[in-house]
Amino acid sequence: MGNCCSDRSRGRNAAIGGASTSNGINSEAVDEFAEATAYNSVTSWIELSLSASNLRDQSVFTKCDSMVVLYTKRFDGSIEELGRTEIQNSVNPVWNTKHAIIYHFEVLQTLLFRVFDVGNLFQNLDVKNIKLDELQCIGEGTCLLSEIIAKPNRMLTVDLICKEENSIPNQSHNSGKLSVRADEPISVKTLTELTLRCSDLEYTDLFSRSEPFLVISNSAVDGKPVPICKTEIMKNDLKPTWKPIYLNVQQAGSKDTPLIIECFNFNSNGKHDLVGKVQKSLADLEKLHSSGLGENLTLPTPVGQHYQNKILDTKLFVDKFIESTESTFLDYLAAGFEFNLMVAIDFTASNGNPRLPDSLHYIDPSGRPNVYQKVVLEVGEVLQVYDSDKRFPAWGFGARPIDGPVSHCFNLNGSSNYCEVNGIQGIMMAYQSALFNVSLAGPTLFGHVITSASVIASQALGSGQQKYFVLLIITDGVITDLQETKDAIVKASDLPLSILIVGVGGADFKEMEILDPDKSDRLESSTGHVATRHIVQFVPFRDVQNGGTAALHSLLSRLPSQFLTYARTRDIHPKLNQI
Amino acid sequence: MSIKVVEITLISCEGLTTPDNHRPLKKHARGVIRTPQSASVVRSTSLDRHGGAYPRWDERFTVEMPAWARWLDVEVWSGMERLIGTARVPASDFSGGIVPDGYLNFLSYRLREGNGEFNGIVNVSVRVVGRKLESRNGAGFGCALGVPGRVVTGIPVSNTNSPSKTTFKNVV
Repeated sequence: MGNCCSDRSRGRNAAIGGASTSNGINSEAVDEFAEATAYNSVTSWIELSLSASNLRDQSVFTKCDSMVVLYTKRFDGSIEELGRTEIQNSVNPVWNTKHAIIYHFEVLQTLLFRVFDVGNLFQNLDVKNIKLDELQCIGEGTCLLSEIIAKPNRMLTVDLICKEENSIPNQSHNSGKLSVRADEPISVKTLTELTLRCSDLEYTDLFSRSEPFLVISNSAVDGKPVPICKTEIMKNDLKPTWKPIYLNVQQAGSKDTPLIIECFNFNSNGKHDLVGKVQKSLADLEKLHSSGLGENLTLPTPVGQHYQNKILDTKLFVDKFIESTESTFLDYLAAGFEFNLMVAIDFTASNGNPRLPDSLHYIDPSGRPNVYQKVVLEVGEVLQVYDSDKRFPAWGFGARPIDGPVSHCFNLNGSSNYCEVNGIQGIMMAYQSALFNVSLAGPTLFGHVITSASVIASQALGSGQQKYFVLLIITDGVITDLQETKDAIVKASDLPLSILIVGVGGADFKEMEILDPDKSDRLESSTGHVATRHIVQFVPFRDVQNGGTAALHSLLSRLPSQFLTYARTRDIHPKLNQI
Repeated sequence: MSIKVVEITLISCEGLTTPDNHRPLKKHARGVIRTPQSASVVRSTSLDRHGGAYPRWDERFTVEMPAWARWLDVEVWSGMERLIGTARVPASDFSGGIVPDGYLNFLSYRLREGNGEFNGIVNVSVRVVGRKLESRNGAGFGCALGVPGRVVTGIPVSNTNSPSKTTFKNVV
C-alpha cells in the first residue's frame, strides 16, 4: 500500500519497496479513501516551442508571414484547436509563443501543426481573430507528444506536407520542416518536504483509540477538494508527529494556492472522523515553520441551521520545511532511459480452437484484430515510442510446439535461440505464425515467462543499459502455478521490470488479484523472501468496446511511478543533456 | 576459493512483534548480521530508539564471505537480550544468480522465530563490491596465490590462526 497518492512520495517514502505499510493498521481503507479522487498517474505540464526551417514561400512578391496553429487529434479523427503562435516574418521562423499542454504517459496524444501564410491582410489583427479559412496553408505536420518527450533532447523535427486541393490526392509537396521542442517548467520539479505535527488532539471517543492521520487536499477550480497527499496513521497518539511528506508545486497548484489540511481519526469501517482542519498555502506553511508557531485547527460544528467553525485548542506545527529540486520522469526519459516491452501470450487450450470463430485466438479474415491482438496493439503503440530499437522479446506459453512437449515459454518467432521480434508488426506476425505452428495445450503457468523476462532484465543491467522492462502477459485463465509465479515475481521485484497481466475471455480472475498488490499484501515467496516493491498489475479486459481501453490506460499509467520508485530507491539519477 | 566482499545495509524492519504474544514491539530493536564462518562472529547495528515495531537503522557493514558460504543470517533482537527472529539470506539472491556483481540488491525477508513462526519483515540492501582470492586458510587446506582468472598452485600451510579473529570484529 503506498501511503500517499503522489508518484513523488511513493518514490521517496517507499525507501525500500512497499515499506510504507507503516503503522501496522490495515491502511487499505485509508488508501481507498484517498485514492478515490486522487490521481496516481504521472501527468506533467510541458511547454511546446516551435520553429521552422525552409518554409516554402507562397507569395512571390511579398514576404513570408507565417503562423502555426496547434491542434490535438482525437481518437475519432476530429481535431481541436489548442492555440496559435504569433506571426513571424521569416523563411526560418522561430515563434515565441509557448503552448502549455498536459502530457499523459499512458495515452497517445496526437498533435497536428498547421503553418499558415498570413500575408499582409491580417498583419494588424489579433491572431485569435484571424479566420483560418481565408488563409493559405503552407503545410502541416503531425507527431505524437510522446515522440517528442522520448527524444533525448526533447526536440522533434517533422516534415511539413502541403496538401493541395486541386492536385492528385496522393501527391504532396514537402514545404519545409517544423521543429517542436518540449520543456518542463522548473516549478514542476520543486519538491517540498514537510514534517507536520499536532499538539493536544481533542479526540475523546470511549469506544475507539486515537489513530490520527492527515489528508492534504488542494481546492480545485470547481471548489471540490482533491486529496493530493496523506500521512500514515499514528497509533494511540495525541501528540502525533508524522513522517515527512512530499508535495510538489504542481500538485498544490501554486505556492500560494490554499491547501486544506484535515486531521482524521482512523476508523476501520472507512468512515474516518474529522478531528479538525486548517487551510494554508505552501507559503503560509513556510511562514509557520520559520516562526515556529502553531496554527489552531477548526471544526465545523452545527449551530442551528448553519455550521460554525469552532476553533480548537489543537495546533498544527510545521517542524520541517525544505524545498528541493528533484528529477522528474521526463528528465529520466530525456537522459536516455527507455521502456522495453516484452510480450507473453497464452496458448492454452481453454482459448478454443483457433480455426473456429468462437475462439479467442480466431484470426478474422476481415482483418479485425482478436482480443489478444487488440491488447498487444493498444499497449504496444503506447510503449514502443519509448524504445529506440523497437526490438521486443515475444513468447507464448501453454502450447505444444511441433513434435515437442508442452512448453511454458517458447519464442513466438519460432526460433530456438533468440526471442526478439521487430516492432509491433513483428509481434503480430510472429503471433499469427505461431498459431499455425503449435497446438494449444495447458496448464497456465507464468513462472517460466517471468523468469525469462528477469534474465533479460538482468542481462541489460550487466551491460549497463538504461532500460526498464515491461512484461505484458495476456491470458485467458487463472494460473495453476501460483507459488512458482509468486517466487518468480518476488525475485524479479528487485530488477528494472514491471509486469502487466491482462485477463481476456470470461474466466473468473479472482485469484489473479492476489498477484496485484493493490488488492493484497506484499508478495512473499515460499522461502520467506518478500517482494521489495510492487511490480505486478492485473486488469481484466472484458468490455472491449467500452471500458477496455480505459482499463489498459489505467494499467499503463502506473508504470512511470513504478519506474521512479525503482530509480529513486537506488539513487539512479538522470545525467541531463544540456539543452 | 575466492572470497566475496559483500556490503550489507540493514535498512529497516516492518511489523515486528514480540515473540510471546505477538503484540507490536515497543522495545528498541537491533539488527545483527551473522556469517556462516562462525556462530559467534556478528555485526550489529545500534539500537533503534524511535521506530518501535518499525525500526530503521540504515547502517552499512562490509563482510567477507568465502565461496562455500551459501547464506548469511540477519537477526533482529529486541534490546540486547531477546532474539525476535532470523532471516536467512541465500547468497544466490545477490550473487552468482542472474544479476551482475556490483548491482545494489534491495531484498526483503520474512523473519522467522526460533520455533518457526513468522514475524515481521526485514529490509536489507546487499552489493557484492569485490572478490579476492583467499590468502590465508584457517582450515589448513592450502594457500592460493595469484591473480584472478589464472590457474594457481595451492601450497598447504599450517593452521596458524582462525580467520574469524583476523577478519571480523567480535561485537557481542
